[in-house]
Amino acid sequence: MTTLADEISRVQIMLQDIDTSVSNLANIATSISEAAQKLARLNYFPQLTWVNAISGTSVYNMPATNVDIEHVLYNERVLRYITESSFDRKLSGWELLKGEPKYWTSDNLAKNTFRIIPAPTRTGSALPVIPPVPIIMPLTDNILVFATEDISTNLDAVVPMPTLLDYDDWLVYYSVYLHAGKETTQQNQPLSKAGALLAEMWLQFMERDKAGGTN
Amino acid sequence: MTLGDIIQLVHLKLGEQHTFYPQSEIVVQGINPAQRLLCLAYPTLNYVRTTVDVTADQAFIDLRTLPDASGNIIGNRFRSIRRVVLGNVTDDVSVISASTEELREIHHSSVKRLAGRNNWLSLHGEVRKYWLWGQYWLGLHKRPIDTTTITVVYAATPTPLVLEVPTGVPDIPAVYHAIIAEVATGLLLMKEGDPQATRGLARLHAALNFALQRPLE
Repeated sequence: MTTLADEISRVQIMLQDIDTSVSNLANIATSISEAAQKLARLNYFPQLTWVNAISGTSVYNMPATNVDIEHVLYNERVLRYITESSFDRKLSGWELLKGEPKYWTSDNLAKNTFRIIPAPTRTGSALPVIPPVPIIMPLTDNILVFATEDISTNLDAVVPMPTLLDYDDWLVYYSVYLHAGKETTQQNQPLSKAGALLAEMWLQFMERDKAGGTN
Repeated sequence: MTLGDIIQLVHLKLGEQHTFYPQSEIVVQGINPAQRLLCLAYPTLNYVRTTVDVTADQAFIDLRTLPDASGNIIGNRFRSIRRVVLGNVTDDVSVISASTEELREIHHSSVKRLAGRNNWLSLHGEVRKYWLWGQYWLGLHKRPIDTTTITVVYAATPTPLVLEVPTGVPDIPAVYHAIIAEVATGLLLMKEGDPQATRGLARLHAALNFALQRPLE
């Protein structure tokens, strides 16, 4: 299993950098984190997020690490995506609707929030299911979100990386590209270019694998 | 070839510069990424076939929890799904799924397609399709009524080799081991910047016989 410390060490080997000062290692970790965020923006980290539905509440928060919402289910049934302007054309006062949720939207809402419409009239249980099937939290009268997340905040020096091994290689090369390209005494444009080329090569193959996955 | 043999070959290709390229670096920065890149380019080199007992009502499986060919949890070495079959087809003698008495392929679908039916996730019954969320969440449609055995064929990242076990042998066929050394050499040259990095990339291209969609320059 790879850890952030392993990744930093690999970046340092490529940079031929023997500076083990805290500030230097932190700078490299920042580049790795930045690289991980790029993968997150490309939706490389799928997540199934359970959200407790509350009677009369239509707006819900996703974790701060959420990147994108693709599908929302309520009570194991599909909610259809709709924009606010579509609802405005159809019905005034739609925000006050209560009943069985049929739609969801993230249109015009604050980041990491979504609205289900109408607001549910029942509060789902928040007690874990035993046995934990299909997931540990109950789906009845609750919300299941097919989302993607950003794992860059979960990187830790000693905890295994929450990534696939191919991603770890990519993170090293992309971090080298970022780090060696900075306007610092460590700037090394040829190495930065080499890192970018390797990262691009890896990403092409990773995209091919991913194309068989999401959605 | 063993890891020790491959390290030796890489050393030769690097002009036996033992100081500038220590063995630990050759393994971590060269050989292991090289075998991963080789399998990324040619996934057929490392397919794994394993069975999973899916419990009744189970909607999805985290594929990172599957065992590999050695029985170890695949974890972050999982790469991509190739085929899913109802029943056990891991050995010469295939075994039908006991609960459904079936031995058949499960077809790939997607959340987007399945979502055409409002209640797709809650449906229970015959398992005919599987869906993926990202690369490592696999769901069965419909959800099985009883415990069901499925076979999952997937592409995996080769097991990382470790310097402490020089007798270790790569997961991929022996005929590709010299290619690992060649690719590793190319990767190791990268740290030197130009012109060695350009030569390193040329080595990668030549060794892997790339036919990429986009040129790298």
